[in-house]
Amino acid sequence: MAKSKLETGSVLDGFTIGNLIHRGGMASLWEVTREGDPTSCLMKIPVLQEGEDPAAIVSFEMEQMIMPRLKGPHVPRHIANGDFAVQPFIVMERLAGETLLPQIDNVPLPAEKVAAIGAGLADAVEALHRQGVMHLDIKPSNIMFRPTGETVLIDYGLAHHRDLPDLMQEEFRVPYGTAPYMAPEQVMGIRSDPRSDIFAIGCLMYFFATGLRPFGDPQKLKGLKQRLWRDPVPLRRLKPDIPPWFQEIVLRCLEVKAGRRYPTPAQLAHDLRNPEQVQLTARAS
Amino acid sequence: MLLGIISDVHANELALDASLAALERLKVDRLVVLGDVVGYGPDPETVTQRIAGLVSQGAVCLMGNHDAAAVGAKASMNDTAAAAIAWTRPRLSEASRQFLSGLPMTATIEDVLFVHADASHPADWIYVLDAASAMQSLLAVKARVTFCGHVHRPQVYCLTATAKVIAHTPVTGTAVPLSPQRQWLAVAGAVGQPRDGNPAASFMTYDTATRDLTFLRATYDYKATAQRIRDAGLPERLAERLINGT
Repeated sequence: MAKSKLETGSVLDGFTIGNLIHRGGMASLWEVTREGDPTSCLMKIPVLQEGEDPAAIVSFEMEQMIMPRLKGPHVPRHIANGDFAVQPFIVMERLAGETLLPQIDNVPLPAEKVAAIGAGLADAVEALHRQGVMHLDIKPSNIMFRPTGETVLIDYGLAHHRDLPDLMQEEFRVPYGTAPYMAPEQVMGIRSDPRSDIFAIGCLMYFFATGLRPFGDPQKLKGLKQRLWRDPVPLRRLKPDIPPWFQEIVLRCLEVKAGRRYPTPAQLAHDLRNPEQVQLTARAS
Repeated sequence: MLLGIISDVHANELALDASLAALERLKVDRLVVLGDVVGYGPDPETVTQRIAGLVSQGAVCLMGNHDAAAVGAKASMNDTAAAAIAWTRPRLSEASRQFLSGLPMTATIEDVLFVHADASHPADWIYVLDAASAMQSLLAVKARVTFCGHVHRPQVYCLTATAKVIAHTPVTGTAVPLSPQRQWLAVAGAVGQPRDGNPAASFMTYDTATRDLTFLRATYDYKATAQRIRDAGLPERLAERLINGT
């Protein structure tokens, strides 16, 4: 694999490299432009180093496979893939604004506000599921918004496509995901249940409404597994002004057995937008 | 280049017609036949001549175990298959026998290898049935992509960076991109005798430029072929399995 040194001003497959926007552990993000194309684009380049965790490479391959197959307002528009033999990259539409991550400084937020965020997020996840894709890494830093209001899911490095080979499945023994948001079945290595995304939405809503993560942020497998048997503290015990309907919805998303969660994100979005229609059960009390 | 890949036609003329018509509509540049032109089915002479004609126009056709048996090779086969071969032999013209005898065991186009069964020992006709047998075939070859048949059930295997094999059951019409940084083995479904529960003829296209592999199906009048099998006096089991796709 060629190791080209990328810098501002160099040209790669017709894209002129602009400023470095972000350098993370798995990839770096560059602003790029293409002659005759006024759209602002983003180039994602994986961090590939000798002795590096092969997961970074495999997850980039998966992202190159899945992103071109997705469409609609809830996904960044895919523009090009770079060949692994030369320089792997993905060029996509650059979205304006920030992710949801800075908002964690402002939690807890009012339940009604969190319900609105959750409903928009559920719309985006529904759009993804209808295209056969599970995101499997829903968290604030992977959520953005269009000026028109739609929620956009970014980063498909851990995503699973129902109809394509799952290169992540057999490769790694440890579960991949983000500790606070990972569904119990994901902790056990199952990557094919779309309802794992509903669990993650539930974790996010719990955190945003209470200021606390329902299962903490465990760094070891043993800690991750606690969510298989330990119920989260009901939200109203942490913050009594949270309405019962909201607790009902969030705790249903956080059910250990996927079959007891909302069957689809569309049903979750409906409940979040119609609190008066939420059927309260023992979960609400 | 868009390749049309068919396998295990098994003397089923109606299934072959339906598959070739579908591939023609997709404007494939080159046809590859992964072997087992004859055996089981009622039309050995017609089908062999059709495929011989295609080969004279640039198609590639490989030797399958039934083809080898039909032209006299010693074969270990179950009773039904052996009965069908005994029925087939006297129904092949000299020209067809010569065509089948001359088929190659393997062929290569660009970085793609074609073989009827497992690629590590092509003449042993080993079935690639699971990840372990796929691993054996993948480790034996240098080709980035191997296509084989013999099993009659579509499946894709991929050798990962850490030397594990991933198995994937393809979805009809959904292109699987065969990423160039790993090794792939695609097992074709059967044109003339599918065994994956779907009686429709199974075949695929592979685009060598985009590396997209797409499994496809074509319906045909399998009840008519089943009737021809019965009329020919071939074993009843061979008629039934066409209708059930098993």
